[in-house]
Amino acid sequence: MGYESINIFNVKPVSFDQGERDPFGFDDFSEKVGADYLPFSGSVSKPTYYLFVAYVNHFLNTNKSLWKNDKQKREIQIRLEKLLVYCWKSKFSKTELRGGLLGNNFELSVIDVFTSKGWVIQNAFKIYTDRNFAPATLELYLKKVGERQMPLLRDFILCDYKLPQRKAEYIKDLVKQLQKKNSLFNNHRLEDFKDKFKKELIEKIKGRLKNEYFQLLQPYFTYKTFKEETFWSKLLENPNPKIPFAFLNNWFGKFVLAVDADIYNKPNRKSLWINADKAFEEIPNNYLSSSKSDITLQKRMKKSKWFQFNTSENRYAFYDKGSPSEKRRIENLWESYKKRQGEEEGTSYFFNYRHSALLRLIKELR
Amino acid sequence: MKKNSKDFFQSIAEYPHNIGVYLTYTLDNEVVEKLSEVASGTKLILHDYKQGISIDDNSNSTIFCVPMKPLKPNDRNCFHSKLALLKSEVGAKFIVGSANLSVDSFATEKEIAIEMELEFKTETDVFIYNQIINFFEQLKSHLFIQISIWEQTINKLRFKELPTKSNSIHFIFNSNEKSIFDEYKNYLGRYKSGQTAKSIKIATPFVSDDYSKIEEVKSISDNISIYLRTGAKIKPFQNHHCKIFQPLNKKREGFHSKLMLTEFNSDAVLFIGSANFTEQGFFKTLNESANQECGIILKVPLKEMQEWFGENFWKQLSEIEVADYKEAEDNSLEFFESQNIHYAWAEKENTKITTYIFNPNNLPVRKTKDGNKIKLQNTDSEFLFKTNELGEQKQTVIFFIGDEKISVSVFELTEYIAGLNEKGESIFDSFKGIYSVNPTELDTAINEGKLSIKETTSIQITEPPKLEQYFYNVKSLLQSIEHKKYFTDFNEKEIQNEIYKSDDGRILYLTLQLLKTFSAKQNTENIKQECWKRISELSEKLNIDQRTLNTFIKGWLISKI
Repeated sequence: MGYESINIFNVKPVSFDQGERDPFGFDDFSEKVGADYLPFSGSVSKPTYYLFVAYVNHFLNTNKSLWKNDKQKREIQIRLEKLLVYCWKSKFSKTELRGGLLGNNFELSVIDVFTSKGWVIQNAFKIYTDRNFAPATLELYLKKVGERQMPLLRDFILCDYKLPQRKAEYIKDLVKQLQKKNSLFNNHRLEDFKDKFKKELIEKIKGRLKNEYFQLLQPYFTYKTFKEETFWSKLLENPNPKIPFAFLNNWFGKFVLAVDADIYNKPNRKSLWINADKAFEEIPNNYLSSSKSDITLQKRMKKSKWFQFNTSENRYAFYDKGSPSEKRRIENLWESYKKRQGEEEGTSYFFNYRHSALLRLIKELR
Repeated sequence: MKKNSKDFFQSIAEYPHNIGVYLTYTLDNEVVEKLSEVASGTKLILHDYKQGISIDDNSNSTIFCVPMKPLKPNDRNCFHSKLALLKSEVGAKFIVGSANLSVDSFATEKEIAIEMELEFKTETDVFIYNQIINFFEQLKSHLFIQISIWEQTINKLRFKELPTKSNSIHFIFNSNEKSIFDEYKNYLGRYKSGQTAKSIKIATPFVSDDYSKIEEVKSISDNISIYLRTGAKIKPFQNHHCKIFQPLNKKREGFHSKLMLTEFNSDAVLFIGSANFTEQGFFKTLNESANQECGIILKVPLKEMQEWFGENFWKQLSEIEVADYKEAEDNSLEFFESQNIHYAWAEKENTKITTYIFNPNNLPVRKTKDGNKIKLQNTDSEFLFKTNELGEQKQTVIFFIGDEKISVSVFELTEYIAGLNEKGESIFDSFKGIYSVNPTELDTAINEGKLSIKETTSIQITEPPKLEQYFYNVKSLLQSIEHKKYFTDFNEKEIQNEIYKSDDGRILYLTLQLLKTFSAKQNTENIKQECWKRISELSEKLNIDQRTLNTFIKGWLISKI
């Protein structure tokens, strides 16, 4: 063993999705604004998961004897998700499965479908919720193949084939039976149900009644090719006052720079605040709040987890909680937060309001 | 050796594993959540006891946080090691470096790490793995709580019988008698004896006021370059005529990497790890109240670290700049403050819940905001207390420290252990009830299930299939063992335990079959000896002539039946 087998690396900066990473509540606010326009998950986007989640929930609702409580229900969900990934991985290579497949890093040999353990916590059900997003697609699936698969899945959940040899024989046979034409377990892309799902997805977006935005977006579902730059600029940089994204991003960016100038007492803080306040005034009033969020945007956000706003001095400063290590932690979190401007998913936007997920969906449904 | 920037969590995600052991000084909830998303195995996190967190979501009890102390805790030292060890059924992976499991570590590109996959195909793989496990053994003395869980984990990690062969990549740690520097010198003595070092480069984000052993460093080479943060105290190095470098740009500003590189004519010796180049980190032994540190020493090509130390990132202070140098208020002196924030950890064993509370400000602890104060029991650490008075609601313990409501997820010890076993760490976990190789358990399952052989002939046989099922179960067990290449101390113990479960003749059959299976496997001498011992005992108890049996076994072992 020589040094060839090892890897020395600089540790890349990482964004943390959860917790206290949202000093003014902008992450939450922008997520809610995005949800107002795009009624699906902003995390991983794989059209098949919508059908799969709806199918599993249908399976659970029609097989209530299989579970007594939420814990058991969850275990079944995870085992079925593992089975799905197992089936896909037994047919497709890791490269073919790239792009939003949860659990793609697991080698086939280590996926134990007989237990819910040993799986990443972030799974399809956590991301897609248990609502039936695509009822018509589900109905078609049940008719074509889904109903016939239900007894197989029921047997799979009930089976107690714990002996290694029997497990191997059983799973081999099950995969063979599940990988039939039209089956979810046979293809990680929706293929046969793509048109139905696309129609439902378009209807759902249309149902948000954001007509100006919808008119801009709809053609992307039918374009055979398009430039991604125009997709972003048309939807996120659009100066149309009926679309909020450009106004909000403009202010978020400028506000953060101005707060930074306050806390580090930078000489240009006044001009930065002038820019920020100008950007704020340009935001149409109806975008300063979202029906789903508790937060209302204000020129000076008063509630913050990290900073206090000193009204008499008209400036922000770090909360002094008497702990230097806590202060350092917040300073680092703030550095990381600032960096997000211009680094969101490779675009130059502070937030993308679920548009990365939208783009992935459109690409796969083309 | 590749060189790049890499996502620490990606490195963990791409290695599916059963057990993950993580060592860190500081710890943040955001990082633990991220780990939960990417790591497939259990997560045993050892952290400095003054730097813990309260975990409010511990799904399936897969996260186990253990507060640690240095051997001789005081207000100037800490548990400072940073390591991730991931063990799968076929090998292991480790990541060692400067990054803690805190948000701070991942905010900017300021940490360095080394990762390595071990497949145990070579004896040198085992060598480095065993060095890590030896380190874990030493950590037993740094635990406040849960020594038995830690021992069980080590048993599941250790392959005592695998042969080892020394290798020039060393995992090192400071011990009671040896410092990190002692280990570094030993390494140079072993692999570079007689060779003259050209220079030494040291990167350290933190420094000491004074260095008692700097002359020893100079005896390796007096051409020393030291890479420090902007504003750091330079006097200790200035006095010894070291070249002083500071960040040229943002890329190295606030760096946290700890490196020592000794350059020779043809290659260099590199240390990467948790230890700052300070008295507490690098030069003291545990008996001298050092921090607990660890790292890797290895030989690298000269060009390996050229870019990291390159002039794109650093500028050398000129004589005038050194003469006019002004330390910053934060002069980078190493200092480990205790966090001022309380945290709690609750664990359940059988039905008893013990809550550990780190309470640095000695605030009153109450079940409800206005309720009576709970009397806390002392542990052997200042500020860390425990109580059994708090009950759970929906697997959560809720109480108040001062005015703050604390909500902690209850960690279930039995679920954690069961999780480890289910993930393939136990040979026998799949063989329960009707599939058991324990005659008593199998008989009970057969009786409870009222199982019988149903014949198709006119004669109805009502005999329960106790022997047939047993033979089938043993056969399946042996098949699963055949696939397994390596056996841990835990496996050794569970085999020993299994063959002593009864004195039934079927156990003799099981033991004989195990003996035959392990005869074909290398590095399982203890298991074979244990089987021989048990066979001898059983033959006596079952009145079987030992000589005849031994003659049979010897012939049978070399036969292909």
